[in-house]
Amino acid sequence: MEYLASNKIAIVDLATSKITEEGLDEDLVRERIGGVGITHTLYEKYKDEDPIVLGTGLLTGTLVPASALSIITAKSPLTENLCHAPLTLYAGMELKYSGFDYLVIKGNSSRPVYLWVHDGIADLSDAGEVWGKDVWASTDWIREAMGDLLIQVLVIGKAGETLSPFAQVQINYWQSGDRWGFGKLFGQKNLKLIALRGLSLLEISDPDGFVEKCKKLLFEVKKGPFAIKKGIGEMSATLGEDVQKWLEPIVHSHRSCFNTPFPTNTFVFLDEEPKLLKESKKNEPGFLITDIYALLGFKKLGLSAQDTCELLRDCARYGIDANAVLELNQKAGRKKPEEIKKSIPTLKGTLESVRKGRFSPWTPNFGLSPDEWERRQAVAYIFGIHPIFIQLSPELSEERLLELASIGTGLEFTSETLEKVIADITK
Amino acid sequence: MIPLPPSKHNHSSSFNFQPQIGIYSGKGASHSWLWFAEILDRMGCYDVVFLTEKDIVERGLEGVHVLLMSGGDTFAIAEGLGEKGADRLRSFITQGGLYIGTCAGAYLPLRSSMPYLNWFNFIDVKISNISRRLSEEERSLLERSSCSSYGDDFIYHVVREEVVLKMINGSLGNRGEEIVAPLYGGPSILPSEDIEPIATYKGFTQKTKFLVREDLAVKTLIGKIAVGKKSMGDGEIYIFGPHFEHPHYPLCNLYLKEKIFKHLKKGRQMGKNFFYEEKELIRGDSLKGYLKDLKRGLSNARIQASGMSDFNIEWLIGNKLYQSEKISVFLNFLWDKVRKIETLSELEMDGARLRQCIEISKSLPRNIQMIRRGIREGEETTFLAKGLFENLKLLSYFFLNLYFQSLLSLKSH
Repeated sequence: MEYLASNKIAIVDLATSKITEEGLDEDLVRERIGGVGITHTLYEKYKDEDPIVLGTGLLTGTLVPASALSIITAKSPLTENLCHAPLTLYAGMELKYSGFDYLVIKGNSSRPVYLWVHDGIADLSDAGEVWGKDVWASTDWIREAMGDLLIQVLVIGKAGETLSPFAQVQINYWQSGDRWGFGKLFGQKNLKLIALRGLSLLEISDPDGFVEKCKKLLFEVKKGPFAIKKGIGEMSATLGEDVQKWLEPIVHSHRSCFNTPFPTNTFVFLDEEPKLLKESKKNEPGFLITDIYALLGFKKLGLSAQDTCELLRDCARYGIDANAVLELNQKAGRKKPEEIKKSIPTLKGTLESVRKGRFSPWTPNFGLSPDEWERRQAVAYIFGIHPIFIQLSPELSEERLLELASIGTGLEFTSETLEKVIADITK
Repeated sequence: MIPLPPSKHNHSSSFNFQPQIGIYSGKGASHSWLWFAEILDRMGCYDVVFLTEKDIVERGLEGVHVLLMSGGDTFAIAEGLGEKGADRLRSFITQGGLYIGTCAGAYLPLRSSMPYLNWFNFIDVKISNISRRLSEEERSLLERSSCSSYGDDFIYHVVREEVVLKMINGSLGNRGEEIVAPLYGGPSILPSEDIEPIATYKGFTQKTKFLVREDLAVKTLIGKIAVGKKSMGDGEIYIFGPHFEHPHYPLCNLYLKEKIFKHLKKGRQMGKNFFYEEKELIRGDSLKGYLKDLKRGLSNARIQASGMSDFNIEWLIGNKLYQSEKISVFLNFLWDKVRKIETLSELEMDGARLRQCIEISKSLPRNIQMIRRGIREGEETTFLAKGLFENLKLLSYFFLNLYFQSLLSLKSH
């Protein structure tokens, strides 16, 4: 596969510590396009070895607006179904540039290890030193060891290490869209973290045509009704939930994922003056809110914004899905922040909220029917478009994305192919 | 140091090279010699050997038809070569060799009374960018970072980046009279009977970065010789103030190419050729494995260097300032070269030398990490940086010799 791809799949066998590489077959791309279309195929190929498959969308990491998404595909310990979790912020983009289009991680390691994926090289190393550290310390550790703050880290904390069913794979320091307990899979495999960094480039079949189309699309997106929206507060308002007033006193800034024209994440200061305009001298002044539902849920429990965000921070450090913490504490009738905090290490119970579907319910539904929501998610996960953004920007239509994929790769993608892939991954 | 077997080399080796172009890559070289390597690679000219001062002093320049001496620290080049190295250069030129010096390599053959430099008095000229030609007021306008010590005086630099040159006597052929070239500290030379002017400094562009007041820049540069030539015995010396070898200036590269290939076409016999004793030729999967190991070290170092980008730091090593981004210049260059050859299925390389490269590459991430930690703790890191740049140069020297030899061999098969 010559364009928009590194043309490499790594097969990481944790049981033997062997890593092999395969090319990305162009025929596979013609048939399955990319992203979840191919992670699904790779999962099926290796399913007897309990794989976790990481994959990039065909347009991930490009100039296409919101092309921030990569995917984790695996069997959810919570649902026992094949499910897909979104990798946003800068992790999705970094996977694309790490020199691999897909990573298949199979088997279990007999000792804690981490996977360092860089410039087309995948290395497994001993993680004994970092096993037992929380998510934040683990991210700091690998970045210090490899020397670059731009390294993107998919990491588990104590929750994953102790095989909590609610363990979440975190992105760097923050909560991710893993609502499937994939953190437990990492823990079972003794895989503490995957660190990603690449300084490679992508080739485009028709660079001028591709850039021109992307510019035009961006221009249209920026004219849309969401162009002026910022942060998790305004996203929540679109869902009919008013958190603006409640959250505003601790809001420091809003942050985008890679190439996402308006920011969907909000950074709050918890241990620092929120309106500080210079760099804080405090080591860990705040927290990045990346999960709308967890925020709304704790608010509905009656917690203050400060208490809510401190709890979210505790969940992130422990590497546990905050939604699970919320739901199970709600069920147990606990409403005090200190009680909820105390419950985190021993959280048990059955979740009602994740019983069906293949795409992570982390992505809110901004007024679509369930079928429409699922289809938009499928399209986002195939092409590598931010799953929130694809709903907020109808300009990112299937036709436009197919056209960009065709121009970028020099292959001819049709709506029939897309239809087939969507039908297959949603059945 | 790549062992260059003096006389008892294995003539029956499957590699029998006839390198015609030598590139100096010794301790006085900074990084611009990589640009020479780049443009020769682009031209598909693999008949290239990289030479340290030790190679030149111990082995001489037999077999080399063109010697390319790029930028760096002129004093360090001169000291490294020493009197014997100067004799080697003199013999090389008078016996028909072509010496092309840019920047520091252009200062080297100029007349000087300074220790070390005074062994190389090949061209009797004076330069305009020396402090003794300035008034006290003008001296006070200069910043330390744009000056290099020169005995009781100092060499000063008035601009960086682009300058416009006027080519004399139609030396650009039908490509016009003017050429734009990058200047990073090279000399501006006063007219003399001992040098034939090829180009003079004519003006500036939007990309010219002034290091002094514009009137002082004009006084120092404009009308002075930027490129000059001297015949010496059967050979020639070309000196370039600006870096004509910079890969972003194709017209300059073309001019250099014409000079080099015109000289090579003369087909002079320059004595015995260089030979490398190849010990352990590897290819196929085995070679791929080695190259992957090399890439691993380079990639880890590249990422460590990327993490240095927040530190705006430079080190004075010898007489030369090294900015931290120069680390990536070496690493990215080597990375691109490894990437280029890893897909060549017929390529053969010397396994023993590749192992040397891999060993050095493995040490680089740690070198950079120590520097970064040192900077963060407020420690002096010049010593560490010196060691790092020595390793980067050594690796580049080892690998590029291998790279060009292997491609030459592939081409000849």
